[in-house]
Amino acid sequence: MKTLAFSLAREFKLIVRNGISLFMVAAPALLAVIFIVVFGAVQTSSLTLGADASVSDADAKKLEQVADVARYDTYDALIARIKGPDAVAGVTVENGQTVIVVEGNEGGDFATAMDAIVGAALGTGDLSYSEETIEPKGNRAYDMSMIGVLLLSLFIGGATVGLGIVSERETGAIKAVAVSPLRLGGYVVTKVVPAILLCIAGMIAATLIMGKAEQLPGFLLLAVCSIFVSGMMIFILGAFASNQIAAIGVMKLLMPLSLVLPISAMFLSDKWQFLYYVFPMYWQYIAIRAINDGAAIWQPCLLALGVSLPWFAATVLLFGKKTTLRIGR
Amino acid sequence: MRGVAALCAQDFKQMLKNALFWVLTATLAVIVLVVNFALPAQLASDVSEIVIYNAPQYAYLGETMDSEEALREAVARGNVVGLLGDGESLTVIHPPMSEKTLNAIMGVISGGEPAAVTVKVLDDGARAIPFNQRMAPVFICFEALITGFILGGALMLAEKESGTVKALRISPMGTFRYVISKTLLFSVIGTLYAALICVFCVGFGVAWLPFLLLAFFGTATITLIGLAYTTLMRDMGGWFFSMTLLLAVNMLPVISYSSPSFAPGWMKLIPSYPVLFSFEKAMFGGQIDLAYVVLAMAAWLIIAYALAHMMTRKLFLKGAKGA
Repeated sequence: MKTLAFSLAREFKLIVRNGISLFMVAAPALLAVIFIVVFGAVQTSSLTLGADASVSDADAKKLEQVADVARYDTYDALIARIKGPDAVAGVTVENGQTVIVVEGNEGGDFATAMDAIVGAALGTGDLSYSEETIEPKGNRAYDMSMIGVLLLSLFIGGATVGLGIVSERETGAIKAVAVSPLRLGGYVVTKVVPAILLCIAGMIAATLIMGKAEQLPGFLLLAVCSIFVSGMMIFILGAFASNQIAAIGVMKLLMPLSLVLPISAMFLSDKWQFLYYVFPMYWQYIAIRAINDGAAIWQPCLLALGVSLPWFAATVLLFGKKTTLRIGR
Repeated sequence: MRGVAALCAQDFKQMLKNALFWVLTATLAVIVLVVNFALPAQLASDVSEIVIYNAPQYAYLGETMDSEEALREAVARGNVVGLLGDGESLTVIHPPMSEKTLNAIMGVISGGEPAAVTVKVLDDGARAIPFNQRMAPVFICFEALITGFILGGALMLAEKESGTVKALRISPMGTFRYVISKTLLFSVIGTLYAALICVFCVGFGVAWLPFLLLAFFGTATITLIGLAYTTLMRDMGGWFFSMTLLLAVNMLPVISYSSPSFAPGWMKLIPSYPVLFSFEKAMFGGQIDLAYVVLAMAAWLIIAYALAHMMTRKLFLKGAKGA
């Protein structure tokens, strides 16, 4: 017990000594700020239309009610704008007829939508109404970004400690641990506990900054149920990377895997979702979505815990084999 | 030239020794599987739905809800606009949106006589790009092109931590050769990586010359920025995680790519913005805005090289003579 406590204290000292590690716990929170600011701007952005000199000032004023209108002196300048990287429709007048010009590769119902919007703006409809704004629980792009931020905070907790193990392997300190009274189980505890605490700290910061304080208990439950996922990342790093460069390579692979796999499940139809059931990151994503939607979270959280256990056990055994740490007495 | 080649070979061997090419291969496999099998060709529309309560004159526009609470709940789910009548007036309940967007929606449903307009399509042959393939430029930009940023920085830091940098400082190699060797190696690797993603996700029918030039110079620019940034760091952990923030900012143009009507001026200052949209044109047809892309990329390349050279000389090689 004393050995365990001593090793845990040493682990925390190593993490805290490196101030960057603490900063990185806050990194997902900083990302959350960026996404909130940007998505706020996206939500309140307007359609952009181009109009050349043939469009009268009166019509341009009507169009200004429904879109940001950029005026161009010539038809060619308007066409050049339409062909720009973003999706912008142009309005011109040919033979007394209002014409909407689109590039053709915008996809979807872009041309139809422009037809309806411009036709209505220049038409005779008039509707009086009052309005009220309701904050949505989230749209897909917002959900995806927030899920990415939260999964990142889970990843950083595990990877921060994992790099410490790589450093121990590189310097040979792991050999001293191997001949010490500390067994593999104790060693695992000294690594997993700080990682999950880092993860919890990161998730608290990110959750509060995202303005989801009322959902904090759910996210904390998810963080605790992700203990084996963090552990899995720690010992994958420790097992497959014997030096810092290799560790960067492993993290370069682990990061997209842990982020892209669950997010890609968002787009897959329900009948193929079963392919993701073996991945604990999928259940983390389901849990985050449930928390955001106010649905029951126990099942996905417990599934994240249960599904991650065999993965965790396998990586710990592999790590033990590679480093000859003693498993039992 | 021989010095640059020797440094490139040294870095190449380090990558082989640490199985980094296996990492790139595995990531390539994940990307190909996700693009070809996980992402759909057609995305469900994000256009707002309309729900109605107590306004039967608008019932034809969408779903009629059982109660005001149900209407508000539907709006809170996102991408839904609610029309709430009270007999005499109409209240529009909506998620946050600009006044102009709301006017556009209400103008369409007002039921008035629309003006007669026609639609002209500039390129009849232009095809709507399948959603999954349209994500290929995103993976190219934010996976292939950042290879040099991550791996170049890692090799640089490893040289610092192992003490190899001391030998570099007293060698006649110089800052110029050092920076160019890393940039050249990863530009080639990034270009090859980008080409493989393109071939396996989209096919061979792309405009290869602009594609390869974009990949090469795009990777070069990002690598140089990475080298400059790495000179400020002391250890791998701090460097790796702080770098994720920088790369996340570099990824912001994905928002404009997904929502093309959102393209604020500051977004266009991010180095990946012109590259991402130019990749789309090179891969799926369309005219690249040559003047803008060449100007933007040249400016970023010059700035990135100047920063990388200065910071490598001052902070990493600490006064080693340039070539």
